[in-house]
Amino acid sequence: MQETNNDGVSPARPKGRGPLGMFLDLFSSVRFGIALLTLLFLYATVGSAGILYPVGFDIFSAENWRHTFPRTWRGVELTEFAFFHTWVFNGLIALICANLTITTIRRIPFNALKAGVWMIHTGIIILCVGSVIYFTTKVEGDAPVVRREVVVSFPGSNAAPTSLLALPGATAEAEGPEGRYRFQITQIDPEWPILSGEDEGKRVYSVSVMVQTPGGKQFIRQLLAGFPQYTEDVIPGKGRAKKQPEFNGEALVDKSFELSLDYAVRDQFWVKDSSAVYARFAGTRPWVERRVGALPRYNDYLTSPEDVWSFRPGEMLPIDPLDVTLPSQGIVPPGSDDPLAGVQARVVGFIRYAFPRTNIVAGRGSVNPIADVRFRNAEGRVQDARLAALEPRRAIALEGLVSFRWVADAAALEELAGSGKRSMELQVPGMDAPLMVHIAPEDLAEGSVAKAIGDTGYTYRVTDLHERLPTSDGTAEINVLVVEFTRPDKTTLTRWVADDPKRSRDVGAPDAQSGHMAMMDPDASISARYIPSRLSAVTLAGGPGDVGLWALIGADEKGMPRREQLVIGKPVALTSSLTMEISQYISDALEEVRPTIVPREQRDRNTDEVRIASYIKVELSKGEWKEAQWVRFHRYPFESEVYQSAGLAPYEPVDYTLPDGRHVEMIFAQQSFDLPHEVALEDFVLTEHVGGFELAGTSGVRDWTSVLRFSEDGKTWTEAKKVSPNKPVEQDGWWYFQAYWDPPRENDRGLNFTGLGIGNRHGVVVQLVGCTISVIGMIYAFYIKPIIRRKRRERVLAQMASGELGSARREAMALEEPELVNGEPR
Amino acid sequence: MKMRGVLQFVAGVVITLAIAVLALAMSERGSKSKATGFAAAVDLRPLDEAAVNSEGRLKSYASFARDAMARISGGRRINEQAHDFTFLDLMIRPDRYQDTDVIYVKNRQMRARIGELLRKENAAEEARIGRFEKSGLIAERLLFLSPIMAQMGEWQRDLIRTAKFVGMVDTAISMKEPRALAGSLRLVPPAGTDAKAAWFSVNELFPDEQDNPATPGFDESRVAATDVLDPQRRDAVRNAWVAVIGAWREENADKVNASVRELSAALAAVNTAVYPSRTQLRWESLYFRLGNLTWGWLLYLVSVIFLLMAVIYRWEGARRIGLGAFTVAFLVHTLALGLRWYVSGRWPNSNMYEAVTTSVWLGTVLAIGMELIARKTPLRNLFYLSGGVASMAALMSARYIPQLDASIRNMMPVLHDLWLYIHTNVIIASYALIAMAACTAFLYLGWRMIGGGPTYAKAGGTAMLIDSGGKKASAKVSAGEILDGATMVLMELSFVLLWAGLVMGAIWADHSWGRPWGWDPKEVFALNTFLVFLVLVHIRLKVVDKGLWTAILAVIGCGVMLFNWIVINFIISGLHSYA
Repeated sequence: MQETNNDGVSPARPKGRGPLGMFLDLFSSVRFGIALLTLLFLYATVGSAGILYPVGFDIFSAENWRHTFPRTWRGVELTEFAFFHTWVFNGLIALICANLTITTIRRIPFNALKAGVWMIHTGIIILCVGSVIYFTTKVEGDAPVVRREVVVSFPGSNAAPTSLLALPGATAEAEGPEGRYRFQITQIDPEWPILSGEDEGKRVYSVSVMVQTPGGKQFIRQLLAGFPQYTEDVIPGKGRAKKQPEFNGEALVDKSFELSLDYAVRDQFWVKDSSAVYARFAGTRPWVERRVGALPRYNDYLTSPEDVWSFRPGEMLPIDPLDVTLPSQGIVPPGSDDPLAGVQARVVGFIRYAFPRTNIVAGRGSVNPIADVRFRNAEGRVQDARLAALEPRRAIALEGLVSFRWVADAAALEELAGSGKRSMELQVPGMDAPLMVHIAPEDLAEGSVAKAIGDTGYTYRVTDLHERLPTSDGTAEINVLVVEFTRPDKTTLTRWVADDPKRSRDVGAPDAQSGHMAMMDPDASISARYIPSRLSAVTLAGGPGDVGLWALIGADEKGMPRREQLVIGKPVALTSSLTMEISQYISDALEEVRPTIVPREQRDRNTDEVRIASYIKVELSKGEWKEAQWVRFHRYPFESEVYQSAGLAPYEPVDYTLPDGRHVEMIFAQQSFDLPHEVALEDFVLTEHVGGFELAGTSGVRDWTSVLRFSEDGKTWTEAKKVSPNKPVEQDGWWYFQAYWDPPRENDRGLNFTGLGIGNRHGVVVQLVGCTISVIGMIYAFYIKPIIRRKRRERVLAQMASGELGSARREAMALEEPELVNGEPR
Repeated sequence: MKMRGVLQFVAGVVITLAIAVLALAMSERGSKSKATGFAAAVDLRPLDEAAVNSEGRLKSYASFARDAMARISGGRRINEQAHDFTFLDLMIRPDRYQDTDVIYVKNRQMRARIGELLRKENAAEEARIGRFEKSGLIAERLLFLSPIMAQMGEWQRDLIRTAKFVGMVDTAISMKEPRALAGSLRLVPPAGTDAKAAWFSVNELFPDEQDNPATPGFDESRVAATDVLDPQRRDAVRNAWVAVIGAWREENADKVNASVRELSAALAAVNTAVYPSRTQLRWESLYFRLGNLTWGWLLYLVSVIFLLMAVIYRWEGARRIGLGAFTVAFLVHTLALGLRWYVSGRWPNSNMYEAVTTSVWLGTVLAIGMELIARKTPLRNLFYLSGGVASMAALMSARYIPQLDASIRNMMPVLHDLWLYIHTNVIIASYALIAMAACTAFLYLGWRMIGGGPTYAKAGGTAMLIDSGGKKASAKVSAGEILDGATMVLMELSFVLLWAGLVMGAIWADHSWGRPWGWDPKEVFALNTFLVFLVLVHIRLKVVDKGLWTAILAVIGCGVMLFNWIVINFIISGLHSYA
């Protein structure tokens, strides 16, 4: 390229001498500026769009190309935002600013013709200065603010009130003068219509709390936000207390305590893209925060292959431990102890996207047979089940169709295989000894005939069968045969004959009022016990050593099952369209929960940039003692699981046992940031299109509005301020944005909280001034300067025509068109 | 001479109008049906004035049926029938479609694999499989074959590549069910004056599900909800609906047509307080029946052909004919935008389809303005030409690229802001100018390829216009200078608008998202486009062959702009994914 100087930039000044001169020459070079802009373009392109690279020789086939974002590579690990705040990027911008400044000062004359360029360059430099202010002081994050909390107090008591958040399912207990009260939020209606009184027709936020008093009374207290005078109790199954005669028109059943609604205030938010580990002693409430610096984001860093369960058998996982030491001092809330004081804590592993899975490993010889079974139908649909032979509740699966039993030896296996029959032991008057009768499949069929019991004159007929019924206390299961007995005098008796005779009952006449059948103690003259089959439709039978693992499938007319020896990974046909396969079997199994890394193609893309399914491995050590566990990421470090039901965050703290035996809970979340005020959600307004959210989902929503109040001096609340998309509000230098909301869900009408984006914005005005100057400069340079230039050229021509050659020459020089005077205007 | 010029202009208008009328007629005929028999004889136009509550809007029935069939059959016609007919026919006579290829599979790789499995299973004739691979339409029965079900299950687990497409197939299958179709057909307005209240589906007219002639056994959850309506008016709708169903099953087109007219009138009478303007509904139906007028690309094509001749041969006659054609094309384009504005109740710039069509309209308006300024300069014709090319390309894209969905939907809450109209229109106008600049840059490159010298507009773009103002086209000015000058005029304006648009976007983002600049891919590539033009401006200071570098960078800038609009929007998701 040959330098030309006919488009507005003065020729380069004589080259300077020495390093400073060389520096100034370099930084006043337009070519250098173009090179920097090209680098900026390439940097931005690679950061935002990534790169494509070939993986095969046929570069014309799309299959041979792969795409990657270098910023996500191992060792780089930068978010899009962070990629544009590295020293490389900042340095590039600094060089561009230096180039702009030096070039402008050294090479662009400050005159009317160049005013546009001056303004553009000045504007961009001011914009960069504003951006430095903005990005170096920027703090932003978000926080959910719940609408209300229910405050429990006891009149006359000095104890601090107890509170529970107004979220579905929230519970709390409080110690009153009469004993322990239990409270649970049972229903929240964000638009409860007031049905009477002078406020009739108004729609208000209603919270219903189930109360259990120390005396055992249970009732629901309904609270209306802003209308404490309408608080009243509802008796389950009866209705409003004041309409019940026994309460003499009183609205409240129990006045020994008071419930009221108050703001559920928030005084901090959680910083976007930050990391912190929160710990506390088990059983205590506030978390102690330890802020963590740079953690990976996109790649997995494992300490050993045993860290995780592999998703696919034989999968090779990257072993690349981290070593990020946590600060020795935590941020300890007043009145709390630091559970990690004196303990060294390090982050030694990171997983980007995983889910917790319980799997089995070989134990140390103690018998605990566990098998994983996969059923597959002809369409390829699969159903998995895990069976533990020695745990009664886990020994059966798929509604009792499959079970797993452990046998001591081959003889026991034979006995089990022969136990597929159902039978009943009977004794009626006139019999010396009990009689065992076989319950054949035809006995269980509809319309089965009665059979004689010996020559006693008694008959029996099986009318129904219920197997594996849970007992009322849920601690055991019973098997019941429903049998109709006919006595010699032709009177009948229906009995639920259980395998445990103590649980057998005779069925009496239905209750006249309720219509329910009466269940009575059995008639002592007829004794019966059901002996159920020990086999399911498919029974797995495992035993030690050579006994191996068998499947006992179905039963023939004699009650004998088909036997198949099972081999791991080899399917066994159950029917023509159903197969069964043992995918894992260990006779001395131990169960362990570990993260399982989700394959990339099965990850939710919407969570690509957030750590919603991430884990870190935190190792605690003190002297010889050491314990490391995987800790799941929580969007917010909430103190209890109550937010989980509102769909806000998981709540899965892990438990460490310190050498002194004390337990420490830990979660991984974002760093907290204290606000200079408290924020409360007065109301949340959903504005809808026709049909609304219920019919159209988000398409039916026109707007979300959070009505907020902020504390002033810790005593009073500001006027209500409305925040909705595009309409943020400011308080004490902090801006609040409508970020997300609480949509209705099944059995929950939602609107119980709002999600607020919170951040500062220093330097925005400076940025705006810079931008405005540069825009004006562009308009000037492209549209005003040519007019000025044209007028001046016309003046030169006029001066030449009138013979004022000196003036014309001066004017032409100022226009940088000396050739104009020589009659060669361009 | 003047008279001759007027006649040439009129000739251009007439030629283009003739093409427009032809295109209109074809659209209208195409929207009706190419089917024969009952389907052809049924006239559902009275339902054009009936409103359906769907996706938070009150759409015309034709618009609703079009959207519904887009989900089921990907907008492909079934048995050459019009969508409004097919929707009702699927609901009333589902048996006819038991083995008809109705379900749309969008992904081509999936189609190929399904085709392979169908051949292996010998489940369909080769011709039918071939049709499926081409059109994507397949019968539900074939999708339920075991190997295909198993394959679908596998695809469902790949959330990145295929799960979305399996989800679309599942949606199509469930939507095609008569119960779902009838449940979605919310034709009956609610009682009262609440304009936001949900409308009733036709099933809710029947207190007893057995009385429901369309879909016996339909979900009873809201049955008899319509009891709140005026009984006489409700019964009128009910009776008309029953009559439509009965006549439809009898395949008695005359009776169907009469009942449809009754139904349309009865629906409007149920609750006039909340019923939308029937005129507006009729226009909405017409808008979609006429293919959104995107066939206007043909008219632009006519203008481009003549304007190109005018530029190359400096032929006045071609210029006037081209101008006439351009005028008609622009009017049709304006009509399309105006209709969409009227029907949706908002300026059309809130989704990809609207952004693309409105962008080039704004560009064309600017081109007309520039042409008026440059009408006596050597640059004349080039702005019409480049505006015509950009509009033609954009309207073709809107017509033939399925990703540009023309459905009218509610705006997301975050878009309800004045800055949507300021920032977005400024940005998309700059994009149109960038495309137009690329057009003149291509012409420059073409001229250089056929031997043109390295000439360029010495004064720059707008400066050239200002310097040559009032002068007529001169033979002394080389084509290279003219083309480079036009590129610079367009580039300079796009440069200012793009930067101003970015600044305005930052102002909006600051109060919408809490930060003026978040390095979102869309933001970054808008900045990258600007950087290309920044390099262009500065490189003109340093190189000898300024015209060539300008043309190359103008084309690269357009490429980066298109990358931003296509790749970033459809592949790399970001905060601007709705734009």
